[in-house]
Amino acid sequence: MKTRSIISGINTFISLCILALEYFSAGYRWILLGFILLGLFWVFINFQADFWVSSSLFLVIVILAAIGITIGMSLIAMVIVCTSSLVSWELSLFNQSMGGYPLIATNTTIDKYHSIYLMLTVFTGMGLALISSSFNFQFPFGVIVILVLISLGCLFFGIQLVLKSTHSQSQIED
Amino acid sequence: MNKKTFLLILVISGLIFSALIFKNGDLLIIAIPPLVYLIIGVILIPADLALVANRTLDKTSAFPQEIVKTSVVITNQGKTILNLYLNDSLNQSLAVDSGRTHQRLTLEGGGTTELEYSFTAARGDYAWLGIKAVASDPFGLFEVTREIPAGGELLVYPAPLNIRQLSLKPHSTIHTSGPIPALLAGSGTDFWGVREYRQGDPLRRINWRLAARYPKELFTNEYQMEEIGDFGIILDARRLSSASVSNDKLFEYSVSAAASLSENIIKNGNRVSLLVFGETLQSVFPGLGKIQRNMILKNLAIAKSGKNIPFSYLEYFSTRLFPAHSMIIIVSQVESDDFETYARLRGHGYDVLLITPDPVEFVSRDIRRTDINILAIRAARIERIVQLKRLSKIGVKVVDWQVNQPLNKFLHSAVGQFPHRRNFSVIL
Repeated sequence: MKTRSIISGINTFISLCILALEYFSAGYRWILLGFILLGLFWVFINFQADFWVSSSLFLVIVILAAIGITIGMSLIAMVIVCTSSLVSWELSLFNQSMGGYPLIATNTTIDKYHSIYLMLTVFTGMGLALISSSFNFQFPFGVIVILVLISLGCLFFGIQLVLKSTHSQSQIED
Repeated sequence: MNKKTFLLILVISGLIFSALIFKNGDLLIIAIPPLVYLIIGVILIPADLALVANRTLDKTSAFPQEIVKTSVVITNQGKTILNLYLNDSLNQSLAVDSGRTHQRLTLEGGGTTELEYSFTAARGDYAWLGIKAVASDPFGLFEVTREIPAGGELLVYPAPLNIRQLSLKPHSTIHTSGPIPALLAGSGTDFWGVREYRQGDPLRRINWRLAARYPKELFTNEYQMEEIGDFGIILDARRLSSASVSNDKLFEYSVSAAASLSENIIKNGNRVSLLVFGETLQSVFPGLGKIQRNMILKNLAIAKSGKNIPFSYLEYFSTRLFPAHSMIIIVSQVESDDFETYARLRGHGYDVLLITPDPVEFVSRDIRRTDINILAIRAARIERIVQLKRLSKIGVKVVDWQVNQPLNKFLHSAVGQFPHRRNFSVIL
């Protein structure tokens, strides 16, 4: 649990530092005050473990990264920011869900699997993001909109399908 | 969909729509890591839950504050479940003493895990149907919830009170060998009298001293017959006051008193019946022995105080439940309207012993000492004394029990002789 907390903290620290550096170098010095507040918020998280507290920090970092991209900051830096904040968010929520459980052999297994899949997510996500950044398709805007809508539709439909199948399975078993 | 998944989809959708609005493809790229995270979650949703649970309780009945150990062994007969949360939900009246009722773990295919804990419980009947199992992907994004059957039952009897050596005098006895001396000559141990010898009398019963005085006659010693007594216990489960907390606590004392009395009476070989008189009416017809004891304790374990129904309804109960001339022990807080019913019970020839936990004393211990409260307590106390005196006058033996003191003490001082009865004693 301690290791998870430390890794989560390091990831938050990395994402906040990169954001601060990027904003500072882009000339937005006033934002440092915001980062100090975010740092304090992060300290608060360590005392007040709650879903919405952890999630709001994750949201703020993602929004700042998105703004950073629109104002022309480094894409690779923002991908790292987003990924590390995602890892930090996941680890802090996992910590909360595991809070208070005895350290038995089966719990170390869940920890092991969780770490493996999280690492897989990080490397696949960052890898795909970096590969994607090297492509430069010049599609017309309308085509992009259609592609986005199709992909979003597939995403929602897929999730709904998965949820429905698990729900119907539970009804059959009941 | 849980709130974590909802938030993740919100972030991904937000980034995609921002990319469209600002016509900036880079925003799509930063949505890739969360999207991969979501996709891995979807891929790893547990396909099925083939869990089998088996619960064992170290005892099926217990007393309050007695530690009960339980273990639930869960076996996974399907594929490995990466993130499994098991929760054995407990009734609010159960307090976990040691161990854990929930666990999060990875359960391999064919593997087993055990939830083991011990707890104490308040009086009542407890039943478990199963345990809750929530399986999800490693990130907890998509959950599959199941109730795994793992039944179990536990009966918690009322807390016993230490009641010993109580003299009770039933009006009449049943002609079956028992512990109560009857007004009949028979096969007892106490000397009853002497009569003329009849053919067939055992020789060891012949009174040789008397035979020596009257040379041509023989006399036989007679012994007092010992029979079983008939007792009926009525537990008043009506909610008589609006102060529910004190009412419930007093009711627990009443239940304990009824249980201890019935157990002692049965232990001495007497016949006992039970009526729990409240919102629901529970009755146990007269009987003897361990089975009767268990039936009575079971009924008392599940007794609950409830809606106030008129005490006069008691008169409609069949005489099969309370045979004529039996002794009725009523455990009740007294209400002014109950007088008529007590009078009728006495009129029907029952011996009535009223054990009444004192609600005034009980409430006055916790109440704030203001002038108005002191006056109110005084008035309530006077009213109660008047009621109990009226009942005493019609021949109801009253045990005014202050529950902070042992019932034994009050029973001994109050249950002496029923005025019109012979001075026989029952050792309880």
